Amino acid sequence: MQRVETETLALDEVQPGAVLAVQLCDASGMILLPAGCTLDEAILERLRVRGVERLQLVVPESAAARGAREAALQERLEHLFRVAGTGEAARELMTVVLALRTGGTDEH
Amino acid sequence: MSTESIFPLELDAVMEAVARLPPFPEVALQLLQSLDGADADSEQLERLIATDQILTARLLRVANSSFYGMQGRIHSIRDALVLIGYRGLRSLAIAASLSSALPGEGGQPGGFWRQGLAAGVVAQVLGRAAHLNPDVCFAAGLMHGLGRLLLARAFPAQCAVVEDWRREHDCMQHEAERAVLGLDHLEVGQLLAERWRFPAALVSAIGGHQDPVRIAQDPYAALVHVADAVVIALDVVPERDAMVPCIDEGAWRRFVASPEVLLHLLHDIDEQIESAAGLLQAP
Repeated sequence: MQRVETETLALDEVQPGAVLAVQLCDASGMILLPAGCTLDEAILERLRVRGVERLQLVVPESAAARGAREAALQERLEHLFRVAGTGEAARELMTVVLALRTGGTDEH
Repeated sequence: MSTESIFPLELDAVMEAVARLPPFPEVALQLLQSLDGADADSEQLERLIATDQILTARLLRVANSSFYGMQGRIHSIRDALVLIGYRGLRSLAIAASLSSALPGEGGQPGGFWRQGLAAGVVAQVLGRAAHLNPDVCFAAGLMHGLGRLLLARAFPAQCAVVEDWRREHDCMQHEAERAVLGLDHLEVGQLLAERWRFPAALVSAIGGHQDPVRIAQDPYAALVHVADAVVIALDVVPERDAMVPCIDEGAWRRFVASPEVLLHLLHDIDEQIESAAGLLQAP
């Protein structure tokens, strides 16, 4: 699994599209938002109403870092699949693992 | 048995080694044999788990992992039963009990049960979607490499030769075993499973998941064949020369309707595997 860098921002500094790094709970421990959730304006507004002050967010990966990570992944997969052949099953499995590992933090 | 093996291992010697293994953990055996039945007696499961402090501690750690969203709030096996359900908890109890009774050794220190747990989780996800018994699916994935554990434990010298042969020829583990020993860990695993009177579906999955004939006939052998390939592709235990086997197309299509469906089924697989792997840490 890729290691994710995180940063903590005051709610007012958070832009729509930011991704929550850890789940957000209220004082009683009830989960308000799951980790990996993408924040939009409506969610941010609700958090303001609830008095949430700061959020721990995923630091977006730079394009260069992402490119390097994808190239390394591609290389590793080609090595892992070296005897798996070119049948449909092998091709589909490789496609799915690539998608799973490069899908970033998008929620399903 | 091949007469051209480099370092042949007789089945009799394997059977003797099986007899010298520590007894199969009673808790795991009782739970395994209950997989086939419909009886879900939560109180009995609770009592059985309570006889083992280490097992209890490991299960509570998994129940408190972030995957279930109840961090720090599950204090008893009864709470965990409510959260995870009878069947899920029974599967985890089998895994925890087995992995502490037969710790991974040899070629895959620490990695053996992690790989097994991952295969169990993947097999369960795929098998459930195909209407197989999810508990049997999990157990089948979990134990598919059982024969490797016995070989590594009882025949370290032979296994070192197998390892050299595998490196040199860059081939699958069971191919190297066949060439060197004249038998492979699937066969050995099947012997173990039979001796311990595992349910038939498990015996077949452990012994048959690389055999095209059995894969075509037995859904659990086919499932473990596919789950094994998926787990290697996911690089759960990143060994440098790990290799995805040539995948049986029929087995694949039986469990994978399309890449989109597989992507959907696996979307939280890393979290599921991490959560289950909590079982493997010392309490």
